Amino acid sequence: MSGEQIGLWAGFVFTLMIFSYLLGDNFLYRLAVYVFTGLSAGYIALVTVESVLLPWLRGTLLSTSGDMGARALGLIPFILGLLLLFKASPRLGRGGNLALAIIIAVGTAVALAGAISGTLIPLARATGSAVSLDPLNGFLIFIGVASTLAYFQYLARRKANGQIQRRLLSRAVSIVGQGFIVVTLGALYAGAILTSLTIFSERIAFLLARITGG
Amino acid sequence: MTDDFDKRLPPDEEPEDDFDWLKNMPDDPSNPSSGDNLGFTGELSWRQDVEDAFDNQLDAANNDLPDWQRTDDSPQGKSTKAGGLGFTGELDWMRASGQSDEDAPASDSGLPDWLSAAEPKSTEAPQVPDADVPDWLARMDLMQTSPAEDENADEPLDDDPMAWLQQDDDSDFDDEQELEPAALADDMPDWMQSLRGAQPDEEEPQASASLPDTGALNWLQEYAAEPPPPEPEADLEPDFPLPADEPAAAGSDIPDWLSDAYSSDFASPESAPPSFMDEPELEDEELEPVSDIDLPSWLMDETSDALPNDLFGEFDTGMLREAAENGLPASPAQPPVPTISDEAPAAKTGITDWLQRETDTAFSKIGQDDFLNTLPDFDAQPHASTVGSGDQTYQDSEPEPFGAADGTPDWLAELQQQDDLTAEEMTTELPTAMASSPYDMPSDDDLFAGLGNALPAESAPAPAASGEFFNTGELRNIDDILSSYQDIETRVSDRTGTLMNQADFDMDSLLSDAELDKISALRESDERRAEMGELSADAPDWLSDIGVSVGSDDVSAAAIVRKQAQNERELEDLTDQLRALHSAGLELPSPIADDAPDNMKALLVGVPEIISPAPMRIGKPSLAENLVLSAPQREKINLLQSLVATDDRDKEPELTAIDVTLEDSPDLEAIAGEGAAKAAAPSRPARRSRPKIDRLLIAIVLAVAIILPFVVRGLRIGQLPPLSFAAGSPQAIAFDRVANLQPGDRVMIASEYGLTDAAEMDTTLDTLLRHIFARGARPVIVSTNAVGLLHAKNVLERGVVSGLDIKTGSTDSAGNVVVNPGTGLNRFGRVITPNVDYVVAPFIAGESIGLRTFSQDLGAALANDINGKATNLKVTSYNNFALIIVVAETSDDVRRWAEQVAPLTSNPLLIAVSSAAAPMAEPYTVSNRNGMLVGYKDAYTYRAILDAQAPLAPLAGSTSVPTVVPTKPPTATPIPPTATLVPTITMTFTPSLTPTITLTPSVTMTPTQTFTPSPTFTATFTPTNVKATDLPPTWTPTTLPGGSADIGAQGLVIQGVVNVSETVNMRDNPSRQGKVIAALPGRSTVQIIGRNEDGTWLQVRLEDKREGWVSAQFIRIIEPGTGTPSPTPVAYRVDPNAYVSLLSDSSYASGNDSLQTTPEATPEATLEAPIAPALAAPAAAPLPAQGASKPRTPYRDQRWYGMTMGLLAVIGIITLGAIINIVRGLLRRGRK
Repeated sequence: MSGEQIGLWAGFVFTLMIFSYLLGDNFLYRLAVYVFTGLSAGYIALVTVESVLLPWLRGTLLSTSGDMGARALGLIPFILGLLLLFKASPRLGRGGNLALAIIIAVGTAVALAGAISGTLIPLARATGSAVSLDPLNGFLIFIGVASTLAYFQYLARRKANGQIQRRLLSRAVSIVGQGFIVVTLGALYAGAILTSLTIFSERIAFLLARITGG
Repeated sequence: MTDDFDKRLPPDEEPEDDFDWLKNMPDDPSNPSSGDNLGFTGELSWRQDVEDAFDNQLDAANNDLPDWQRTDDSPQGKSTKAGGLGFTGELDWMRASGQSDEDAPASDSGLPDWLSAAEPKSTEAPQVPDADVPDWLARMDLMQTSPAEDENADEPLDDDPMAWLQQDDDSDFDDEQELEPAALADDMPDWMQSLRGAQPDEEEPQASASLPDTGALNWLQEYAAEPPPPEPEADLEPDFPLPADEPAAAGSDIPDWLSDAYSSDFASPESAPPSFMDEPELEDEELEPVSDIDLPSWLMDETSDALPNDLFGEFDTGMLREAAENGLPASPAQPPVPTISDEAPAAKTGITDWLQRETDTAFSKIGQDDFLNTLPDFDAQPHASTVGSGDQTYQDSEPEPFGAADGTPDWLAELQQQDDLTAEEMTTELPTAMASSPYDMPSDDDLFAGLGNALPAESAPAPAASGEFFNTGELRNIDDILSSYQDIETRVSDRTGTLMNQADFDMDSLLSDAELDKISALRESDERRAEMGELSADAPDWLSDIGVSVGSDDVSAAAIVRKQAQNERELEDLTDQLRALHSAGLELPSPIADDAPDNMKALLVGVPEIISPAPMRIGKPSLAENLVLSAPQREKINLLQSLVATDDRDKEPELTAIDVTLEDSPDLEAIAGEGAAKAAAPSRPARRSRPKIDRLLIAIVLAVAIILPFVVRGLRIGQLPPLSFAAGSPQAIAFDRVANLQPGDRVMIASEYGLTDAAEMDTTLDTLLRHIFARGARPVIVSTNAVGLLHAKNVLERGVVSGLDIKTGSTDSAGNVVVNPGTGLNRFGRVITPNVDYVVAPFIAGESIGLRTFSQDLGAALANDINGKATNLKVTSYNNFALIIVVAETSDDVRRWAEQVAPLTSNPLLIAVSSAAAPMAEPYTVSNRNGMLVGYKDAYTYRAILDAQAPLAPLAGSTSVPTVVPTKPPTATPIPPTATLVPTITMTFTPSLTPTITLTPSVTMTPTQTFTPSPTFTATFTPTNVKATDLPPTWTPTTLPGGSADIGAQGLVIQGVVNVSETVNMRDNPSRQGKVIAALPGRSTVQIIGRNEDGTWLQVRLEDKREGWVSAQFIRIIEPGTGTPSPTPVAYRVDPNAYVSLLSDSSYASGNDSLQTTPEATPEATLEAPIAPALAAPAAAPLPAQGASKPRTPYRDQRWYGMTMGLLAVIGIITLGAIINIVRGLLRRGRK
């Protein structure tokens, strides 16, 4: 039996072990989960070391070019990475805050810039252009976007009796937006079901293929 | 609550006298007699006069006293006048405490040894109690006295052992050591604080001013934790001469501990009458809060065992009875009563009386602060509270400190000032006067009724004349005071069983078995219970609420319970929770120990019924050892034990935190149903002992619904995914993007999915890779998901590449094309190799940040592959990639690429996502019309299109792959364009149709270079619409040439499929009135040869050449190039060398269906084979296959059918669940 065949049969067994959860939490299910989790974690660690850390070390600290600037530059993330290890100690945990602050700040800046240039502007432009491309579809998109935004606005006028109430038009539009949100959530749920069925059917096909000798 | 008492300050910070009335004292000790120094003064107008007169009397009495009794003025200026301290009943020898160092050079010589032992500077035996001292007192001593405390305790003790009593007046009192009110509040129980809260203001010291130091309560709490006192040391023998004629009598008359206690109590301000007598300002309504609910927690709490059992054991009536019967018992260690002259016997008897009264009073008021007042402040004044050795009690040289007016309580001073009243009058009038005070003050009789007044007639000494002390206005000695109570009579109430004054009553009769039985019987009687309410009403409110048995007023703690019992509802009327609590309470241990003596019940009225003498063992630390806990408390402790892992139970299984919080949370209903005992001791819950039946059933139904289509052909319901994408759809756009790739183009593929979605996305990735390879492009696979990267690598190398079958140019004897499966050659005829035909890049760490970093320097990031080998890619930006494809399982991955990468390139971004991520990823496809593939459905269609396109046309100009052309030049007949035809349609199909119609079949296919389109053909060709990769437009009846003649004239072979499962009638004319000439089975294929004018009817031809008309709504026209399999096997023009085929799929190669990699080549079919579009502008333009086949993998269709069945099952389950819920709701409503 070749290695590939062993792998296929191992997949067959592990699939059955996962399906055993239908009978309740049991050892086989947990074993399969632990194996997959452990393999994934181990592989990620290995890939990270080989694909990220070692190349970085070779290019900076262990560089044979003798460029001190590159080494110094490579030392900064090394130090920041070491500081993160201090988070394991309650007493020295503050040492890792600097690295975390940099990560969070840079991540936020990157995400913000990307959101503007990659989401907001293109979507706004697409929403506008959709009307011209496909009037009906574009109109639905426009109505959906506008009414959904209206649903999430909370500005209202205080009436004489102290009651806070939005205007009738705003409320009507928000109701439409609520309808779009409901449809969207329903689509998400339906998509999740379809994905689950797809995965399940693929596993069934895989099992049958194993059983029938494929 | 009680725990607050443990928060004690260090001795040097201990606020001994931090009550308000002490704080308000002036620092100047020169005016100690002022009533302002008292906690309460001046409120009664006559009070100041009484005090002044009493001070004078004390001075006069002091002058008359013998030297040893005389109190000298202390050099520190401490006043001996009344007003400084309450009445303490100090013995004469205590007067020595006021001596200066000169007068009393050695404190040890002037004090009894037991007091000397307690003196801080006495380093020899500072803490050794007397053997005769009761254990509880000894423990008090040891517990509250420590060397550190002694050192700090109180310098005045050097010259005056009783100076601690005068510290209230001490001007040297360090303000810094005063406890702030807040701190005091912390040490006070709530019920005490409530009393304090009743004070109008600080300028009017109230009841709380007289409250004892909280050390008393601390003692109560710490009592059980203290080790037994050490044995008294031998060197504590008295060092003063003992009178020879008194030891025997004294020793037989007074127990040592009683004498010591007496002395200690008299020396302590706490021995003064209860503090409520010092509370002139408290009004009834202010005292209302002192109810049973304000009782100290240790009294109310059922689990409290703060009050030790030994406490009552030591004070049982047996000992008192013994004292009453035998007088002061003889003891070897008992020192003789100090040389206090002939008055000693009377004093001794008075001690007994007083102590009995005090004992009775103290224990009858357990639960209120006054009881604590009766206890010495052991913590703050360890030297005074220490009960020394009984071997030495008094010193003959000690002056009588009684004249120290500081120790005289106000109420006694008031008594003394009333010279004109006799003792008898006082006993009758004073209570009246006090009762008229704003607060309810128990009368003198009430306070000292009971045991204390029951003097044995035979042992009572000849008292001074009743009222002598008061008549003369002189305070001669303690005997006078004590003997003045001789006339107070005590008896047992016939009705209530409590002690009442009676002239001819003595202790023996009081404590006789008959009386005790009588008391018990009366206590149990209904009359008694009925009477409780009335008596309680007569009692002061605060006494009624607290429950103190005072004299004839039958108010006790038990009365509270009984009163509550009268208001009890029937058990059936209670709620379930209350019933559960009731049953839980019944399971608790009996509050009264079974071996509790009856006399204890009799004497401690109501107390044993309330206080549970639960044992407390001090040993190995345990959270719940020997404590009486309720079920909720037990649950909480179990939870704590499981969390801190300190559960040392041996037998009971240890519960985890999850078990306790989730599985075995306190359930009162369960307690009510199963009993509190089981609930209090939770058992280990079963861990998923049985599966969830409903979930299991749903899973089984779903699994069966999905599996059955795999094995049962009849259950394959529903339609397969379409075999083509709708024009203009995101899917069609996506296909076009890939189809437009040119050989050598680089395509970046982001494989952003892991193991979870691999079953869905693998098909999409596999299909895309095949198409890319077919186009001659070079995929570069990257990922921010390490697992996804690995997965894509496996799909590529073990699936796509190895699955590329190579058809040779040869044919077998039957004319079939010979195929070499899994050769893995590209369309150039080369073997596909990594880093040449594709690249798997390293893992991109850091998600968005990493992607941004990756984008900044693509060249460096892609210099090496995942294995560290050089890729030889020379890219500088994303524009070097003709296409970027994101295969993702979540919308976040799509968003990340759309935000970080898409803005950096002008090339399109193609998205392939799972069904779950599609709704949120959809917006990113709208912009720039990037195209999107969703889930398995689009992958199926995409793959079907690819399979239908096979084989790919060889590259134009390729030297390795010859061009396949018809053997004869086509002589295409120009098709005149009609108004209804779209120019692109005409253009697309003309080349392929021409040879079919006009060419003669030939078995020898010789490539020719002479193929030239006819001029008419070019006339219909619109170059602007020519797109080699454009899919054939969707054919509709309206696009068909009008009439059968037109179609036939065009030579088109258009097929259609009956799109319903039922049979469809074929009529002889295009109307419902036409004659039915045939019944077309469902899903059958027909050839369309024409249509009517409006396109509502199609003219079809059957295989048997019969022709007729069928309603167009029942026919789905098979688009050229994408239709269902043609009845005629698809033939391929044989490649003389080799070319790539995409038909094989090794990963799905198993199953029933056999691969049709060798289509039959028939002469007729050869004529229908595609030809190289030499006229096509793009050199790599594929030719649409005639009669595209559906995917040939065995389970691909079954998966789709299984998904369809599963979806139906899900809908059915959801619907069924909703119906069941509705029905249940209706039934429930109907029952209500």
